[in-house]
Amino acid sequence: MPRRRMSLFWSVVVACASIYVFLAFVFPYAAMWIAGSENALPVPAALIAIFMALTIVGALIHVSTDDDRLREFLDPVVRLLRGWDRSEGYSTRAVARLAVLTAFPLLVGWVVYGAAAPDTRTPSLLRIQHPTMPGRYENLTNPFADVDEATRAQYIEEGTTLYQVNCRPCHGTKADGAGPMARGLRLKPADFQDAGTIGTVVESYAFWRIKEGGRGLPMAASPWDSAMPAWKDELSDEEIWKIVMAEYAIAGREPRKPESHE
Amino acid sequence: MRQGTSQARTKLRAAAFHALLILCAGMASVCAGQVVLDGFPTETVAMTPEIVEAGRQLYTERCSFCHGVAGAGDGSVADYLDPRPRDLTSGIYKFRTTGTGELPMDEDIFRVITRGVPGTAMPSWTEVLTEDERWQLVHYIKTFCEDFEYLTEEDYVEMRITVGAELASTAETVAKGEELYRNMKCWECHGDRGRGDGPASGTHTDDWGYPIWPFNLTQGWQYRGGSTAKDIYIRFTTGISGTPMPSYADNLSDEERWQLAHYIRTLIAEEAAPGSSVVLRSKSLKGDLPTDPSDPRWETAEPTEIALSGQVITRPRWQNPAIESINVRSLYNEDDIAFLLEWDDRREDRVHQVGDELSADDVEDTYVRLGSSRPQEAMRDAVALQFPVKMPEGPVKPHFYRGAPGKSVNLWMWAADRSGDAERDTSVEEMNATGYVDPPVPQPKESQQTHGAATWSEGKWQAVISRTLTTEDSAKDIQFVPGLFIPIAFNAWEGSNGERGLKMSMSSWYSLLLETSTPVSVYLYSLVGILLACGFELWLVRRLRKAGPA
Ligand code: HEC
Ligand code: HEC
Ligand code: HEC
Repeated sequence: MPRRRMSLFWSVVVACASIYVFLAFVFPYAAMWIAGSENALPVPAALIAIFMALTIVGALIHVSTDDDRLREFLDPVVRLLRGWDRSEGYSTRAVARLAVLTAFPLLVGWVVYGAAAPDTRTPSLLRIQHPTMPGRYENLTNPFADVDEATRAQYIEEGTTLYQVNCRPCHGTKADGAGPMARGLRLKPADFQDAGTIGTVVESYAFWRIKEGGRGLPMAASPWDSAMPAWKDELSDEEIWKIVMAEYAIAGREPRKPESHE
Repeated sequence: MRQGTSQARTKLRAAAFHALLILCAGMASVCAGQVVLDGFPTETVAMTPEIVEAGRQLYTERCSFCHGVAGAGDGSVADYLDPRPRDLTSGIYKFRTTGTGELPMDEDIFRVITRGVPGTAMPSWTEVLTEDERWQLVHYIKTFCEDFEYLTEEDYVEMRITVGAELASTAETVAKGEELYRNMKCWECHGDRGRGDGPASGTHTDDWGYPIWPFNLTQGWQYRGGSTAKDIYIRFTTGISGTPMPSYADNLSDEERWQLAHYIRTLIAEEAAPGSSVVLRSKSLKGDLPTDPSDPRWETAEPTEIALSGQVITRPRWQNPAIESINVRSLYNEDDIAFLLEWDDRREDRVHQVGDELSADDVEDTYVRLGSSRPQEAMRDAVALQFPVKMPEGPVKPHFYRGAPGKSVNLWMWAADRSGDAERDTSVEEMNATGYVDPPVPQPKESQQTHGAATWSEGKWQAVISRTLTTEDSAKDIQFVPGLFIPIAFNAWEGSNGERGLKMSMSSWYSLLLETSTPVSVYLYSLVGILLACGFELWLVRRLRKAGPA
């Protein structure tokens, strides 16, 4: 007995579905494993759409290359639409047919509704936390980087006092971003204990942020939502460098080392 | 076999003995009613010179900038805080499980360091200090006050309060508690509804001479000693040393205390936590909008709780704001939009004395310094709504703090002193600002189109502010369009707290949405889509049938 081949129609459907499953569910985890990242790396929806369009076009070309194949491909569809004779029995097939025939117009109605109804989703705060710093700050270095241990300890102590007076209300006594004034801010003060804030930038970056504040941010970092004050008129450069040192010390973080230009 | 039984018997005897021991211990602790609270240490650690020395180092690093190097409550930060960091040399401890006027147990000090004092600058140290380190601090800070040295073991046992088994909270206990709240005259300070607005409110100073307000019992997140029934029970049993809050140890039975504690718990407002929703939904209404705060139609609008903080972005930075949240509702019809704002405020301040704005140049320090004397300035209560003048295109907005040059904001400021002002038709003033540097500019009299009405009662303001949806003056006024997310922010001033100008409470941007019902046309389009699809299907089926089997 010859083995029954899967009909052309169903093999096309299965092929398209597997490619979708691969892109949407398998690939993100494979990429995570290859890149050694902690989170899955999802394929952007737009990219998935492009891949799927290519797949479908390819499949259509494949089935329409000759008349027989096209007929074979369309056969299940045609039979479904045409329906079956009563004599063949009032089976599940007939019920499935009815379901497909009603589902199609409803789907069309749903798509139209989705496109025409007003959007009431909550706007979200999407922003880049670490945009590129202005060039004039890039090459600054901490003037107190090479002092001896005792002087360093003294500067950190001075910086701590300045930090506790000026930054504590928002960033918190423990540099955890939970100061008493954080309550009313929707964009929360940075949590310096968190691995993703000052631990990932160089000291001059923190220096820039303290000097220019939220209003000094580029548009991509939504300056209008940031409460971070600009301290350039109120604290001297020396004071700011001491605060930077203290800020890292209180949070127990190390600044990123600047790449050396050799 | 015999050996086996005797072994079993010994085991049985041992088990019985243990059970007895446990029972006795349990009985003893119930009889003594020894208090155990969350945040108490798992075991006590005795003082040794090494522990004190380790505590000294930790204290210098972590606590001295507030409590002072010698513990006198005079660190560099102290002058900016209300309440001030405690003078640890005084031996005055507010949160104790010991009798009135007594020194605290070691466990009490440990607990304060562990959980901090909510609603004040004193933070919790759970995540950054281990239990051992917290014990080192306990023993070190006790050295600041020599009274601790004279305490004997017996003293510690004697001064500790006892708490009986907790009574269940039922409608009956709560009703009894309410009666006690009245009879014990808690309301004289804390007010009829518990908002800290009783007739005696505003007349008190603490032991250090600073003004102090009776606690607002409705704000659950602010309870300094904890907000469980047991915490509250202990609070009015021990009193709060150094403050006017008395001890009721001699006036109430154990049962009555639980009743009172359960009643206080019902005062804690059950509103949504501030900041949990970021969209203020304005509901569409047929007919006239309510102009009175007590209009029942406000009930139909969904309330949004807005969280506020002190303005600490530019001088005069203010980190002791009195108003920390505003409850907002909104309604609109074809022509107008109205907002109902409700917020707790202990005193009704309708008089204004000093110049409108407090500018950056009036303060030298980066933050407003309270210092050792705090003059009570008589200022008015006020509140303001802020909108961008132009609906933002894309995400770009004016800055939430008074806009920015070229990005103007529209402020509607209601002020309590204006309602009796014959010069004005309205208690709300429309203003524009393009940043915080210059004070907002009031619009000319003919462009003032907002209206307001407000009432104060039992420690709470309720203000209705309204305007037409659109105005002629589109260069200066926000134009409301239903169905769009319109940025909205809030400012508030509590006059009795000396707030005016930029010394205020403020929120970040929230979104205002004038809710629209889905237009009929959308349903029509969908229906047409369905009909077309059906027609197409029918046509296809008939055609295929006609063609006959392939
Ligand atoms: C009004 C509250 C407020 C005060 C006061 C404040 N900050 Fe900030 N700060 C913020 C907020 C909010 C953010 C997050 C938004 C942003 O990046 O601008 C932030 C971000 C930062 C960042 C960027 C961190 C990162 O990894 O992107 C640094 C650095 C910083 N603050 C340092 C300071 C220092 C130092 C002080 C005291 C001199 C200070 N801040 C005072 C609110 C404040
Ligand atoms: C940012 C300032 C600040 C820091 C840092 C701080 N405190 Fe406090 N502390 C306060 C304030 C303010 C109060 C007073 C609260 C009140 O009166 O309600 C207080 C109160 C206390 C009390 C008295 C509690 C009572 O029952 O009355 C103790 C004990 C205390 N702090 C210990 C410490 C220790 C130990 C540290 C260091 C680990 C520390 N504090 C760090 C601000 C601070
Ligand atoms: C003479 C005025 C006065 C009277 C009478 C009074 N209180 Fe108080 N109460 C205060 C003050 C002032 C505070 C705030 C203390 C502080 O800020 O540290 C307070 C605080 C409290 C707190 C808050 C504790 C915390 O954890 O923050 C509770 C609970 C309380 N009182 C309950 C009562 C009860 C119950 C009564 C009546 C049996 C009462 N009070 C009577 C003045 C008073």
